[in-house]
Amino acid sequence: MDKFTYDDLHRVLTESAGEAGLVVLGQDNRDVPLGDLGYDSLAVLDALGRVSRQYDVVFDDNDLTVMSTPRTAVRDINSRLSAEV
Amino acid sequence: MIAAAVTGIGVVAPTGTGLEEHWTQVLAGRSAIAPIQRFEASGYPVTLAGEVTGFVTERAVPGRLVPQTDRWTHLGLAAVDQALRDAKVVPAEMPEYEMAVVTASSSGGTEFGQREIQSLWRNGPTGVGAYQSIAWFYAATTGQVSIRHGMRAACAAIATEQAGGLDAIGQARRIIRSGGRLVVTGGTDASLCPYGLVAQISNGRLSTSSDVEGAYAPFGADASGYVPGEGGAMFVLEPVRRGARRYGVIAGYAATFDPPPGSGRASRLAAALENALGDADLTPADVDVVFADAAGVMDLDRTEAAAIAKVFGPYGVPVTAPKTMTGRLYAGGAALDLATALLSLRDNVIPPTTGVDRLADGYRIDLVGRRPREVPLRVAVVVARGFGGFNAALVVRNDTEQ
Repeated sequence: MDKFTYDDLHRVLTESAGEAGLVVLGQDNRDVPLGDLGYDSLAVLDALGRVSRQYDVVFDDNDLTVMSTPRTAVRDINSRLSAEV
Repeated sequence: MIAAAVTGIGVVAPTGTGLEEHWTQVLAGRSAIAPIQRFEASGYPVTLAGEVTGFVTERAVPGRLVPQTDRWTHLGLAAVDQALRDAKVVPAEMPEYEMAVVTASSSGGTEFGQREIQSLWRNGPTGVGAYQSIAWFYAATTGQVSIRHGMRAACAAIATEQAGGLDAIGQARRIIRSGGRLVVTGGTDASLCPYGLVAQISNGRLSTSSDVEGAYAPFGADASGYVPGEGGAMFVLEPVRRGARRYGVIAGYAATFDPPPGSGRASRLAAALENALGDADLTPADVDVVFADAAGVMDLDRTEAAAIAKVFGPYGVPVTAPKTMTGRLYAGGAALDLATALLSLRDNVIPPTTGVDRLADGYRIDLVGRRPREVPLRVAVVVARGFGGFNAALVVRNDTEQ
């Protein structure tokens, strides 16, 4: 069971970018780059910071970028969370 | 020479959100200076301020911009919205490289920054959000306005403290005169948080009086400093067009810089006034009212009173300081003065100056009292002085006949 889900990704992106439901991350946009979904580089960086604090894990600034898709973001975050155990 | 006209005005001030609300309160002589509400300030040497009340951020600012901007930018964005609507400008319908943005800022994002500093202390470095990188700095409002409205001509941010409001408009006018089609300009400031207030207190000019009526009494015998405030005004500047509604024309502008303290050389404030009049091709006798900088600090009041008397003659022109009802708004202050001056010209009435019971000895200026003065008005001069030596003067003319 993933520690970090698509719902969690949506939550931290909303916390960072402000407008609830800015883009609903659904089944059909999991492979769209975050930048194209309306999350600019600072929103993504800010969201990564939140994940870092909330899950007590250290990330590289490059771990999540606007080129990440929801699918790769969830995958990469989970693999980092597993590695930290 | 292309003339720059003010075609739209937006105001977010302690005296009101909205141009007419502000004007009504100012004409009524109703001061908005009160004990600070935004945070528990009773332990501070300064307890009074002019606060913007009734401003609902969530209604005035798009949700996605709120987390990445400071309150000073929220107020600026709202004022810009008002000004664009007032000017009946739809940015999406105009070429993006023909619209510029020039705003003044003095404190930057202090409230935002304070929150991030507190988070840093509580949570360590990962507690600082990425948006601090863009929320704090003086260009944030200009940048966010430019992005939001697609205004991509030469944009700028000016940081000359209280003179900034005029310096920004002076720069906007240069852009219009060199062929620019539209400039959004003006300034706001909002630094009423513990960090911001402490920074301001360090300039030694804030009044520590708790007397709401008399704490800020510029040119008065009892002048004890000024009261800080937040807010400001934004404008749409366009080339003068026949038949287009305009509040007035920016007829002249000049800026000078004072010599350092202890140099023995005199302030250059009078020169700023003279140069602005020369730029407007007007004489002192043509001026109907002066909106003073009104620092409320004895030495500065003395310098300003002397400069006004020198240029306009003793008691030569009515002088007013409606900022006695809002406090000094730093980058928003002179911008708000300009908005008020334009309404004066529109309605032929000089707004009151509150808080001053008795002029200090030797100030030979005709300071308007607590009641507005109805007189025909065609030309107004706005004066602004920024901490560190900045002087600026702006001449506006009501020429709606042309």
